[in-house]
Amino acid sequence: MTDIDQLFAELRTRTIAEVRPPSVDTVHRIVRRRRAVRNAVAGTVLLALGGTGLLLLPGEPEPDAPDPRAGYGTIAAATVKLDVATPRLGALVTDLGDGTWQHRLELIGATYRTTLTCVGAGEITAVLTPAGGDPSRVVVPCTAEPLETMIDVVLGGDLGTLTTEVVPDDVAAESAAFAYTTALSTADQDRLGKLAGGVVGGVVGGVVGGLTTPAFVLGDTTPAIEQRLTGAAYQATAACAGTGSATFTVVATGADNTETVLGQTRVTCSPAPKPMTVTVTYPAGATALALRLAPEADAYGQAVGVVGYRPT
Amino acid sequence: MTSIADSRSDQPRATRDDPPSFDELYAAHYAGLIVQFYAYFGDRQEAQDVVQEAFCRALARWRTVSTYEDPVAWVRKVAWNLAVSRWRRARTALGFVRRQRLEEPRTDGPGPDRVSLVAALGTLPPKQRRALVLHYLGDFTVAEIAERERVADATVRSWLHRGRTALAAEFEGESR
Repeated sequence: MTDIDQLFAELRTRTIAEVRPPSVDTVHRIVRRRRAVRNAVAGTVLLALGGTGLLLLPGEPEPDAPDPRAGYGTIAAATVKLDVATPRLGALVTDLGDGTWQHRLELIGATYRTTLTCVGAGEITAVLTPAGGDPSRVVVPCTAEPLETMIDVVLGGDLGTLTTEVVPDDVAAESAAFAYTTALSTADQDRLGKLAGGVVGGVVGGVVGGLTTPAFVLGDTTPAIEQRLTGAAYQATAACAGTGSATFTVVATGADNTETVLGQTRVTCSPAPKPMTVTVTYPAGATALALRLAPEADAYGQAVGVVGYRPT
Repeated sequence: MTSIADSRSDQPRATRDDPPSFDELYAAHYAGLIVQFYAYFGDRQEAQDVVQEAFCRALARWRTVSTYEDPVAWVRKVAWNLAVSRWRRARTALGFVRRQRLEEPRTDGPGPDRVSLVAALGTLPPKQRRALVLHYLGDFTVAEIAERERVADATVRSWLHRGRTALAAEFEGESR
């Protein structure tokens, strides 16, 4: 055994011999008190929201009572507009009991606005660290009525990692849920939108009978042109500025709402977008032509698209 | 009294069919965990704070934690998360000042070797200190530390080597 080994062994042996654990009753008492606080908060949240169903009254704790944090999570997710089914640029956490929570997002270099909320009691400290940048720290109170806290972070380079770490205080660890979402800043949306719009405009712009959409951030709701047209051949064009990829689909809708795919192509989203064009023939019996640009996961929230068409 | 050594192989129960009671787990592992965090913080009060908080969180969700193969591993993880968070929040800046005095109100005080070791650990960068404490007091393997810290095994070996070297230099300096 080396000297270092001996020193550690001696430290362990002698410290253990000296430690007198506080009575386990103390731990039970602390947990009972926290449950009482949590249940009181749950009642307050329900009162604040006029909710029904779950009713937890303050007072003597009820160990088997349902954990109200699931309800807090629903409120938190709705507050920051997080799609809980497919949380891509954000997260929902209803149990912060293990002390810290960390989430990493791979993002295109840009300015992002992160919106956080915490429902319940206590407070959390959120630390957002862009790759190669300085961390930004914000304290978010956990309240019965949800509040939004926003923080802007600049991510340099073409691509990078934004790490979000959340540390709850002792009360929030047991009595709160939090959610956050991260979105491109408005300025960067405009910048990328101009790039994509310029590319599509170069193909469609100035042509009689042509039309382009406004720029849109690729996400769950995919804007599209839904236009009633006369039967003819059309050139449909899409461009995507940002990162990742998307699928561009041109669809004809029939009178009975059936859809026929007329053309489809993959679009690469890039800081220097290029036009992707498909030529389609609009069926005589169709009621509308739809142009859709649906993001893959790697483009979700990090790319801005524009689509348009022109008669050939 | 129940054994109080916190050994990673010394689990209170071996199977999930016979889970430990919370009180048994607490009695068996409290002191062993205190040693690790005392060595990390250099302050027994800080150590007691994080370990007690970790046990509180375990009790709050005991129905789930008790079904884990290794409930004390969960408690240890929570305590380490709390410890690292506290460190990051610079709460231990004051603790460092206290550490220099090494006040131990409930005992006669640690012997000189322990004082030297804990004080020397306090001079190491947090990652080296954490690696040494996990390895020597938590009985973590290099691979387990690497997984916990999300780094390569070689990085942990480097932390341990540099930490040991720094400790040895510290003690050599003292003996002169």
